Amino acid sequence: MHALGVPPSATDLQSPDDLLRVNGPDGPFVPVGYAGISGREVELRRLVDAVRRIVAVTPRLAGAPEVVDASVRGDLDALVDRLAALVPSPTVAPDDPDGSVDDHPARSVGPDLEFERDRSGTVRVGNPYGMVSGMYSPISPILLDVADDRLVGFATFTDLHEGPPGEVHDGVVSACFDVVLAMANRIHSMFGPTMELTCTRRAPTRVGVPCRFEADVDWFRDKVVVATGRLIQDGEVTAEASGAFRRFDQVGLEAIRSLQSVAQGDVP
Amino acid sequence: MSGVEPSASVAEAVRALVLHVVTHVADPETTSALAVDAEALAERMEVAAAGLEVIEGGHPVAGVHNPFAGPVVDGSDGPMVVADATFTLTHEGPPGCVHGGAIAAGFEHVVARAEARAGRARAPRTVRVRYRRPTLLGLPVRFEADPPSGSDGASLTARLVQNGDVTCEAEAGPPDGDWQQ
Repeated sequence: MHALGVPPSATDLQSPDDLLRVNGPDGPFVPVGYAGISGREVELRRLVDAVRRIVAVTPRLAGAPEVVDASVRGDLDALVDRLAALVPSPTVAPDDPDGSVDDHPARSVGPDLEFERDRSGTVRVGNPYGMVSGMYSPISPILLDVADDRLVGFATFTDLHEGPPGEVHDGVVSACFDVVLAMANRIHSMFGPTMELTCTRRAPTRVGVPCRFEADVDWFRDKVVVATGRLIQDGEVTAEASGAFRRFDQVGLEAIRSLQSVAQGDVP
Repeated sequence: MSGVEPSASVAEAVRALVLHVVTHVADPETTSALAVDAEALAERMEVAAAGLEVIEGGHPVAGVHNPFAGPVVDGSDGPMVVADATFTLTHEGPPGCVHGGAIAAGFEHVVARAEARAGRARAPRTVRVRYRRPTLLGLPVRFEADPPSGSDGASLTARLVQNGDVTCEAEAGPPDGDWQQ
């Protein structure tokens, strides 16, 4: 096992509320190293936030197609078509399970990896397109930050995340822990895919009530890092998690990237 | 890359919208124009949705009307509960692979269904997922959960199958129980 150093931090926000405003029109600016985002961080954030609002009302509108048809369907389809025309290479469409996954220009990361220079900024942006904490994913429910060298996450879950009435679905909580724990590793410059994730539900996590995630690295060896975390709501720990993650070096990263080119064929 | 079929549901259209948002490339000016139109559309959709309730299909893992969901399609296979899905870049984790969180969510879903099918009340419990190999985007996957077993009848096993291979396994049971050893 190894001792942890103090992660460097270059971007200081004044409060968790600032997380909501990162790369917004009047918020703090955090550069993003992804080719599809760099240079339009603010504009894309605005688009994503608008689509986030669309996502939020969709389950309610889905039960009233006549309302949608009469009011917004044409404009919705037109927006989809305009964006589809800007997708540069074949990707996996919801209605096209035979589609291929190729190297994707929007997702390529330049050699000047931002997290090497500003790990706090990296945590706040997250995996920018990631479904859990990605600032540039319209479905991500959680915001991440670094506080006192610890990973913290903030979320107020909505009816999009509801399982039993009034409660957040355990799967949503588990998905969040997967990223929260991985990012706890990341602030100490360790990253790699999940090997094992253990989540324990202690009490119901309620929809509409602010949640705080906390996570720390427990220990690491050459190829494995283990982190633990908890979800706190109204002062009560409602869930706990532990995760073991592979520690990738550059060779490992290149190997997993090569999987993109074989997504159509046999699983290697 | 196509847009969306006219016959698609509004949720399918929004699911395609989300996918294109996370995969398109544009200059800042084009992005701004798209954002302005998306904001106007969001406002109109919020007005249209006022007073409407979620009727069904809003589940965060299996809900066909919830863009957060893949979604998975629930079924059964003998004593097992199963859920089928094909994930897209919206749910990408490592490059080309399904997000570990999406996989964990799928397991929690089938575990909960298996417990409910066995008549078990909802209670504190642990789910442990072991990721054996990458689960690829764009290829069908099936989550399978066995009925609860063990001396307390509270533990169960599950797996994720793609192309005939088990890519992940899971087990569930009471917190801190012997099943974890």
